[in-house]
Amino acid sequence: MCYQYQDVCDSLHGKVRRGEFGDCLTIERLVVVDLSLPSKVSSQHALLSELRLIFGIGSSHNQRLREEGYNSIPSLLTHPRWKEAASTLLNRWERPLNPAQVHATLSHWLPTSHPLFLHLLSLIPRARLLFFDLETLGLGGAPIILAAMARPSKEGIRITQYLARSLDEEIALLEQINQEIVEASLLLSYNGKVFDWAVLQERFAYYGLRPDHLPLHIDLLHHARRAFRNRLPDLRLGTVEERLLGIRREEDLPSEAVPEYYSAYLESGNPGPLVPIVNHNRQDVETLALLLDHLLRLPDHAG
Amino acid sequence: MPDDLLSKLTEAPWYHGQITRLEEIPPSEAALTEVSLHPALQTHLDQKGITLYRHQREVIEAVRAGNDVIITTPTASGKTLAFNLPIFEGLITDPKANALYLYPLKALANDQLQKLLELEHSTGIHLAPSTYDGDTPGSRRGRIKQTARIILTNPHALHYYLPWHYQWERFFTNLRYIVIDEAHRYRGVFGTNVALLLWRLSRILSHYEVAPQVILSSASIANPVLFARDLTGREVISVSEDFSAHGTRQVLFWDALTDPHRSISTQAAQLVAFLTAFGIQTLCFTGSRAMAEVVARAARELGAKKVLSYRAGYLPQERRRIEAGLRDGQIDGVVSTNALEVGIDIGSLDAVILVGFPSSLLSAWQQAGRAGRGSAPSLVVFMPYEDPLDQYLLRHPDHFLGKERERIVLRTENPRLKVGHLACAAAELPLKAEEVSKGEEKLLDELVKNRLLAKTSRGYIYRGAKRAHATVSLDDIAGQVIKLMCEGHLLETMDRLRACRDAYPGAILLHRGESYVVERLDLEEGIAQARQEDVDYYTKSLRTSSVKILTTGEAFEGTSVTGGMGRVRVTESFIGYKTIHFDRTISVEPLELPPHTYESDALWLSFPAGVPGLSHAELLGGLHGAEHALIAIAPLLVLCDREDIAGVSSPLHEQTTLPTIILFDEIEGGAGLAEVLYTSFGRLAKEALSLVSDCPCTDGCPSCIYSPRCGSHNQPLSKDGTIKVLRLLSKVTNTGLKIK
Repeated sequence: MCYQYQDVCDSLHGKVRRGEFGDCLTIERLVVVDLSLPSKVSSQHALLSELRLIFGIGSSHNQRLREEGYNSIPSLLTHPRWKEAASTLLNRWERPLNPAQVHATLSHWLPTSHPLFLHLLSLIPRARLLFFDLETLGLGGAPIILAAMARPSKEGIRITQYLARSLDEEIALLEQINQEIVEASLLLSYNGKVFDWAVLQERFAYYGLRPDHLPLHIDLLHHARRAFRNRLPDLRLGTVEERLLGIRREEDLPSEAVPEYYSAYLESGNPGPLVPIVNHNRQDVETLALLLDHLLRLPDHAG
Repeated sequence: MPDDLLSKLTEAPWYHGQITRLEEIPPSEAALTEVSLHPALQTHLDQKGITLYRHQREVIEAVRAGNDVIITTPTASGKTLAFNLPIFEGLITDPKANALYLYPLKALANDQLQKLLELEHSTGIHLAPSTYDGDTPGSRRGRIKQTARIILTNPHALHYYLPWHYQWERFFTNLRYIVIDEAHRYRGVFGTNVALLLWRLSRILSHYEVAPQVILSSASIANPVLFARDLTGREVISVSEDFSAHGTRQVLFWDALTDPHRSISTQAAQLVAFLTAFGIQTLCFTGSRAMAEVVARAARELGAKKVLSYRAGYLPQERRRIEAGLRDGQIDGVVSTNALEVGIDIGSLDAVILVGFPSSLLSAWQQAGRAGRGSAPSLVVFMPYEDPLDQYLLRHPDHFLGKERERIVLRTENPRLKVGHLACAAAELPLKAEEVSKGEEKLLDELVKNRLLAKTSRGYIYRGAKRAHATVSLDDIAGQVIKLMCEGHLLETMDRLRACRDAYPGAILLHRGESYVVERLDLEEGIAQARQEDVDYYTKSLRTSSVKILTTGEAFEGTSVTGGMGRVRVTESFIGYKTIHFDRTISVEPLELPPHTYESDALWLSFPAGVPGLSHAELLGGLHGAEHALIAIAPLLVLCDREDIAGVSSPLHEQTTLPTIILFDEIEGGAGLAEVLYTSFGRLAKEALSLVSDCPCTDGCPSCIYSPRCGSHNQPLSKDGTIKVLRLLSKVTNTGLKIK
């Protein structure tokens, strides 16, 4: 099944995944990560306690209402002035809380880096959370050669990487990514709103395709920037890993070297240069999970 | 305009017999017509008191019938309204349909936006027209893409938007019209790049399964249908006959050289002052901003206090102020660079003075067309420089007055231009094998070798690390790009050949009517450093070339003249430059720049039996003079800059082993100019012959065979020899040089 790229399969311990648009290589790995998400109850509590999500309530109203004993949105249902607005919002949010509706309200009133966004995680089944990270041949309009997609599981996270063994396979890789996205309700990335997701959309459109589903998306860069801006010299993922998460990458391939290594592989057929690319990409997505865990444990996070 | 204006003029104390010809173009009545229009549009026309001309109806009917159209009627004949009306109708009938308007400059798009907003407002038809370009704030972009039904942009911007076509899906999938206004601006390297850009746009549109109608609007040109085909790949219907009203138009040919004591700018100022004193609002066009200011100042000193100078880059409100000033009589006259020529709506005036021939009849009549309000009489004064082309037209006023216009040619096959667009196309959508020709396949394989493209089962896909679009500039030839910088700002970019030709240290460069002095040119670093300075002189580089014929595309053999057309390799040396002040060379400085080698298109002419009756010295001077004369007259046949065609001549060319003249496109890769000269060579030679033989000088002069950029300082030249060489050449008929 893997004969044409036997060396690649062997050295990466991969399996061929067949799709409508052709084959690509998948590499699966289970990584033990301590990822404790907030409980559903505490998240619901946190979300329903933010009175400023109601149209018309700013800081001064918020303060006065709390002094009068209105501590949650449901408690406003008895308030003469705000009962209608509260009822409209609660109807829109549904019960149990509808993550897409809550996300829409949060996006309307709060910056994307607000910690309340992280409470969306517990409204969604763990298996429908998807960390992702892409490797491309350049910064603009270049093909995607590798994607790491990871989902939380009981033991930690289950990472699946999709590799294009030639540029012919990019479209097959996109098809697999689409399958992953269809089974996700929320994406987690690092700088993915500006880069990875934009690249995905552009590459789908390049082949005349489009993702079958548009999940919610939380960009952890925004949260890291809000939380660590004053403590770190910059917010590159490597810096965050080293200074906050205590991760030291041994012999890591810098991202900017990926195109060169991949080209070397394409020209020689020797899978050697793919190994550091695959490791780098897997470490990136692993770090995402660790960073999320770190953010959730911060004291200013209500979870 | 007073009846005795001319007799007053010839009685003026400063008049020195300069008028060589006075031509009166009789008035014409408008051919009006009725078209049944959508009621809202009809009401709009009624309110403005507009009845449509017959040519406008032709456009409306052609667009309604679904045809692609090019309109080439003159300035102020209502072209814009002619296409806006059927487009508005189409957008009302199909509430999802959209239209894209392409303008060569942002300022023109902004002017047009005002007209569309006015039309939208007065008809009450909501189409949310909007410009979308580099100036559009990020916060408005998404909304425009989602809601605007008319978007106005320019080629430079569109070039960068195409890779994001999926963001334009709503707009593109319902795109029904593409308007290409001021299409005559798309010529030469820029025009060819725009043609290639439009090819990329059309393949994206066919990906979204649409093929919009194309409507082009242009100044009058000789080959509207062919030009439209070259630019857009469409077979268009041409509407060119003008049915609007004109008053009597007097055209004066003014030979400034007749008065040896007054410079041409002084004479222009005297004319401006004279005309404005009679309440004749006058617009005077000059070649440079410095000249415009000299003339305006001199006119004010002569008592014409309400004369302003105008330059490119004025903000819309400044322009509106000048317009308003002209309307209410606060301003009597404007002296402008040709910035005003380009479709900017300053309205019409009574008189137009052209100081110097603006290098094409197309431009000359765009400018002259500003004279004349409705059916009122108007005056045009043509004041030529001491330059072969200017003087030729002075002596052949019928050519100036005639209906004939230049051709515009594009050469989309120029590999140096095509290669960049192939890379961009492959970055926008996979480039499939069936989309490319054999010649293109070669270029694509080069790109694969350079790791910019990959050949996959889906077609060629782009794989470069940098965005393909950032490496292609629509103004230049692909390859090394030189940046012209002033105080840390990028003024423009140019290819290496143009930098050596125009941006050498010491050069005076005109950029949007402003003059800049180049201080430094670093070819390795790719930087030319300039400072802004108003100067009243200009510079010209002196070049010599050697030309090797590589392949012969077409050939002909006569008994006295043989010739051919094909590809050549040019090696050009930049040996120095001249500083010219009021048409006089005041200094010649050497230049130290490495020679530049490039491929181009050329035609060549040889004399198998020599040129009878010429001594060796006369032969040398005759071939050289004929080369200059042919180059000087070429812009009458094909729209190009005077610097775009160059030549070499030799009494014994290495390859032909005969006395030979070679003319070539001085543009890397070639621009198709030599091909036009080849196909209409008989005419070119005849006009060059009359340029030289009608010139009253005895030994050759700057008005006939001297070339200001000649690298051998116009040595040797022989006027008699030139005439004999051109006589032989002019026996070659057009049909003698057949082309496929």
